[in-house]
Amino acid sequence: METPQSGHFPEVRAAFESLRPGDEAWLKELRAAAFERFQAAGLPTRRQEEWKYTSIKEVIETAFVHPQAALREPARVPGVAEHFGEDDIALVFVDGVLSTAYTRTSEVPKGLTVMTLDEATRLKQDELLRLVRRPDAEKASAFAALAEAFLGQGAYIEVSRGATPARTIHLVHVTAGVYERPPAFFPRHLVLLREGAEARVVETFLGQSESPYFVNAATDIELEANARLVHVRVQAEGAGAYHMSRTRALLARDARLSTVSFASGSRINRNDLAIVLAGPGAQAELDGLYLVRGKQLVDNHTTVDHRVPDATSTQLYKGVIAEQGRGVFNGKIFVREDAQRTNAYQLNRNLLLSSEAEIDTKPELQIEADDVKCTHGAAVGQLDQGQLFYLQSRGLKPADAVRLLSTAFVDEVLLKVDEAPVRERLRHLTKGFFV
Amino acid sequence: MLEIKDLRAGVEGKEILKGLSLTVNEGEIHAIMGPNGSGKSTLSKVIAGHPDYLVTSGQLAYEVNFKQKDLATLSPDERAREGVFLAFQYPVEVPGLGNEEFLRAAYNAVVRAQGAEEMDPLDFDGFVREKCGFLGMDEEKFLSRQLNVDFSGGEKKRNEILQMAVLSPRLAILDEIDSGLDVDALRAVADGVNKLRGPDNAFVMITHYQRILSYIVPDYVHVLADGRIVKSGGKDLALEIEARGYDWLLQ
Repeated sequence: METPQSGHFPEVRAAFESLRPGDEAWLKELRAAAFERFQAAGLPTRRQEEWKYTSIKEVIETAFVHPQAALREPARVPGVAEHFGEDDIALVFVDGVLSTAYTRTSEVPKGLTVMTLDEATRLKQDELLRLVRRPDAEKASAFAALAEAFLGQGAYIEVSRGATPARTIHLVHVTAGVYERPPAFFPRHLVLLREGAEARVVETFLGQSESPYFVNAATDIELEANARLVHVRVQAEGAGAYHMSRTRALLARDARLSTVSFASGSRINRNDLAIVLAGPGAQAELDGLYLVRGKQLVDNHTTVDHRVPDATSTQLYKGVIAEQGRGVFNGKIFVREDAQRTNAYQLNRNLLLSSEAEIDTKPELQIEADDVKCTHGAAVGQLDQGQLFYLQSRGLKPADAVRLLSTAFVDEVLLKVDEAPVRERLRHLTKGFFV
Repeated sequence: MLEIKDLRAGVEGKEILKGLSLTVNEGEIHAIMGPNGSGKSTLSKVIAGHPDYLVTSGQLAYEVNFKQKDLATLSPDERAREGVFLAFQYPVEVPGLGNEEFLRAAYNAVVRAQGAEEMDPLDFDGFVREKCGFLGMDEEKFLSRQLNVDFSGGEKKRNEILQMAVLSPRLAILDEIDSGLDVDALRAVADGVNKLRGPDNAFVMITHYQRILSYIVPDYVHVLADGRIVKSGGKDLALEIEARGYDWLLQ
């Protein structure tokens, strides 16, 4: 695949057409339709409102290749196993391929189905189509369409009706190989919770490389009535990464989703999170933390669509931007005409640690119902001078005081992660950022 | 220990201390009293090194372990590591920062500078619980919470005393440690200070009222007015002020 820019569409098409000739007809069709959408959409530019603050010029100018074999494929990837516990279920993909060395899927509890997407295309066609084909697919961005066209390896998780497997499921994607030319990966995960089912899923994206690589990830979540999902997404890619992600979740009546998005890695990172509250009583809690420094850019776009009455959504996104880092937050809340008694809350708070750091934050509310409770807020600030002096007056050096106060600022989001080992892992990553 | 001579200092270009002199020796407790706006809080902030307060002239000499220091040239954290402590009139709340974690970070910063050994979380937990016990404080109530967050006025002041106990300063400035306290909280705070008194440390208590001085008995009482000390005396001076007010001293 050559650079995915409009001038190179013939090469991208060639790469697309030569990819996986063995796919079944329905899958080929699905991918071809997505490719058409990608071509029709074209790659975004800053002239588009959705990409106003995020330039992807660098991404477009890099010639990525997919698929390609690594020059060197590491047998072991340092640090990967630290991301999950002994008792967890883990599907680990190293450079887009399921790693038998790290994957742990033995003794999967009753009611839980865990398989690769490849297996799911053979065994779970109906479910796969249901998750992938959403009515709003047409509106998805070029990257989302591209992700679907190139549909890479990933996991299919299904929890059957009423089942509540206790073990946490980790889906880890690591870019570890050394490549001749910048590689591109298209990880794709599907999560389906049947009525009353519960699960905990942690997605982790890691990378070791300082040189460019492209990860274009997509995750589809569907929660049937009364289902409950605790979801964490960790983006700790290498410094050279371009990481684009699109996560969708559809919630039926009384379903509950808690999702925490953590981003500390990559050169350019754009995360689109779209939640549809499609059943009364559904509750979604979206929290995010982004730590940005150097020449990094992290852009979080959230969309919460209240389509029915009596649903609740809360959002807390916090960012710490240091050096010349740039952050973007855009939070859309739609409250449709029928969505009476909606309760929606959104707060974005940012801490700028340098005069060159930048954040663009924009709440967007579209409210068509009249009986709703919607609050939103955005704040950008520096560290509180009074707090700094207080800590210094107790002997802490300015740099240590800054570190403690910044850590305190982010802890509010980390506390949203219920699971202690995952929270500690994120605290560890946070510590690394503040050193 | 502390020798202030002809100190002039102010904030935002406005001179507040206008030639203040004060000498404090080891083992002493000094009370600084004075009407509102006399410069009491400015003095505490200048000693602690608040960045908004500028010393324009005069001397702020401090001696610790036979070493002479010019406090005005030290940053707030350096002063703290040299054994200067300010108990804040309004202790600052820091959401997200655990009280015990904060205490340990401060303790380790100070002992590191003094060349002593730092404590790991487990050892420090034992150490700080012992300090709580010593001060008669409910450790569960104080240690597990975020720094001063949702603390009552009295709890905030007691937390200042706990910090003081942990850091063992040589010179402690207590800025209106009695303000906003009911009589029980006042007694508890005073008990803490009395327990921490020793021959090697000194206290400067800044207060508007005589009340606390019946619990913490000072060796010297000074009256501050318009940026200068206008009268010094023993503990009886405080009683006289209680009876007569400040006006007779301001003529």
